Amino acid sequence: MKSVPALRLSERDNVLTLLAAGRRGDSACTPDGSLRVPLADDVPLYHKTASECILKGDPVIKYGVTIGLATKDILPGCWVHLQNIRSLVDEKSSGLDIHTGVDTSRSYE
Amino acid sequence: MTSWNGYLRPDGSKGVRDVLLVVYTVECARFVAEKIAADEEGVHCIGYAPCNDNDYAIRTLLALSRHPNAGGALFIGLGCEYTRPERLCEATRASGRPADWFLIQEIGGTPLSIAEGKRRLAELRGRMDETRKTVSMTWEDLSVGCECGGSDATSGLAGNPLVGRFFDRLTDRGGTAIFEEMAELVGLLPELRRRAASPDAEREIETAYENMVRYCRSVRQYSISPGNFAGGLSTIEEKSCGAFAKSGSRPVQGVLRVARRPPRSGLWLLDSLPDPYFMQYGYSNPHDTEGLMDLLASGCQALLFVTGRGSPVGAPLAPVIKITGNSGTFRKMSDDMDLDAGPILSGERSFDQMTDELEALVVRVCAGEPTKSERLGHREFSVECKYQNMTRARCTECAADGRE
Repeated sequence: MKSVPALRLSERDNVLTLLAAGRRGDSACTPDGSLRVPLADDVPLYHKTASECILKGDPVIKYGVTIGLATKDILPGCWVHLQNIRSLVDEKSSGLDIHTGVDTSRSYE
Repeated sequence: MTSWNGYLRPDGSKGVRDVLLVVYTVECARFVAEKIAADEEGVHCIGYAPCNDNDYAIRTLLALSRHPNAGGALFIGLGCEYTRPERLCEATRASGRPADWFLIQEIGGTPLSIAEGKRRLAELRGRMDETRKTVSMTWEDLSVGCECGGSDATSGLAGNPLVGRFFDRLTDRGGTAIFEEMAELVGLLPELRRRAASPDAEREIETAYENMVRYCRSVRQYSISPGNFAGGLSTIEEKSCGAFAKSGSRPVQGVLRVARRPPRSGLWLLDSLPDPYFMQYGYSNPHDTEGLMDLLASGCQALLFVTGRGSPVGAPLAPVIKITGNSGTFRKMSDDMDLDAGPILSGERSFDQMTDELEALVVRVCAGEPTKSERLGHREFSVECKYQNMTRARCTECAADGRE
C-alpha cells in the first residue's frame, strides 16, 4: 500500500500516467497532491489509470486530447490500455497482446 | 544579447560549422570517396547510392552541398551514373563555395583517384582558409530541427515537451524551428489546424495530413510498434500527442517539402512522405538518419534528437544534440547522450530550469563545442531513392490523374 507518483498532463484529462509501477491497492498521486486515486489493478510503469469513471464509448483524454474511445466501462483506478480502449483511426490496436503489444493475429506459417 | 561566432557564406547564409564535403554520386564511387575523406580534419563524406537519379535526389544533394555549415565540396563520380558530379559542382560553385570534381574512370582507378582526391581536397581547403569570414550569430540566424526516435514514454512526458519549450523561445526571438514526422501526428488534425498561422498554412497542413492518413490506411500500419504499446502507449493518437509536444505552442507557419528552406522564420512542419504513385516501389517508415537528413536539407544548422531509449547516431554537416527524458538511458549511454531531461520527471528540475540548460547547451554547441556524437565521429547519412514533388496536390487529385 504505497503512494505512486503520477502525472495529469491537462486539466481535461480523465487518466493519470504513472511514473512508477503501481500494485493494486497502491494510490496514484499527482505531485501537488490534488489527486489521489486508489489503484484497482496492477498498472505498469508509464501506463495509465482512470482518474474518473469512463463509460463505454466515452473519449479517453490525455494531454487534453482524445487518444481513443473506451470499449467497456472503466472504473477509477483501473488500468487503461489495449483491453479497454481503442484508437479512432488504427483498427489494429484492439488485436494486440495487452502486455507485450505484439500483434497476435499475424500468421508466421 | 546572446551571440556566438559562426561562418559567413558568400550566399549570405551563416553556419555554425565549417565542413568540407566529399560527395560521391553513385555507390561505385563510395569506397574511393570515403578513403579520400578518411583522417581529414573537418571533412565529411556523403553521397547517393543509386545509379539512376531523380529530382528529389538532386535537390537533396544540392541542399546538403550548399548547406550553411558547408564551406566547400569535392564531387566524385565513377563516370557512367546518371547523377552528374560536374553539374553538382557547377551549382555549388554558383553559391560562391569552392568546389571541384572528377571521375574515377578518367583518373584511372582506386589508388590514383584517392591520391588525386587528397590533392584536390588540400587545394579546396586552402581556398576555404583564404576566403573564410567569421560573423557574429544570434537566434535570428539560427534554424534548429528536431527529430525523435527510439522513443519511450519519457519522450512524450519530458524530452519532447522540453524541446517544445525551447522552440517557443527560439521562435519568439526571431529564430526558425522545424519539426517533422507527419506519421506521428495522426489523430491530431483538430489540434494541428488550431495551430495554423494562416488559412494557407491550414490548407497545407490538412493536405499533408490527409496524404499521411491515406498512406497509413492503405498499408494498415501506423507509426506505433509493440515496444511502444508495452511501454504504456495505447493508441497512435497517444503517441502522436507526445511527438507533437516537440513543436511547442507557437503557430505553424506552413508545411515544408524536403530540401526546401523555410521562406521566413518561425515554426515549420516538414513533410517527408513520398508522392503516392511512388509508393508502389515500397516505402517504410523513415529511420532516424533519414529524418535527420531531411532536417539538414531544410538548412538546419543544429539538430535536436529526442530519444528515450537512447541512440548512438549523429550526422554529417551539423551537430546533433541528443536528449533523453530517461535518466537510466542517460547513465547507460552517457558517451552518446548530451542532455538528461529526466530530472523533470523526478521533480528535481522544473521545465523552465531544464529549458535554460538546453538553451545554454545549444549556444555552446553553436559556438563550436563538439556534441557527443561529433566527438565519437558519428556521421551517419542517407539520401533516399524516393520521389517528392515540390508542391503537393490533395490526395484525391493525385489519385485521379496519377500526378500533380
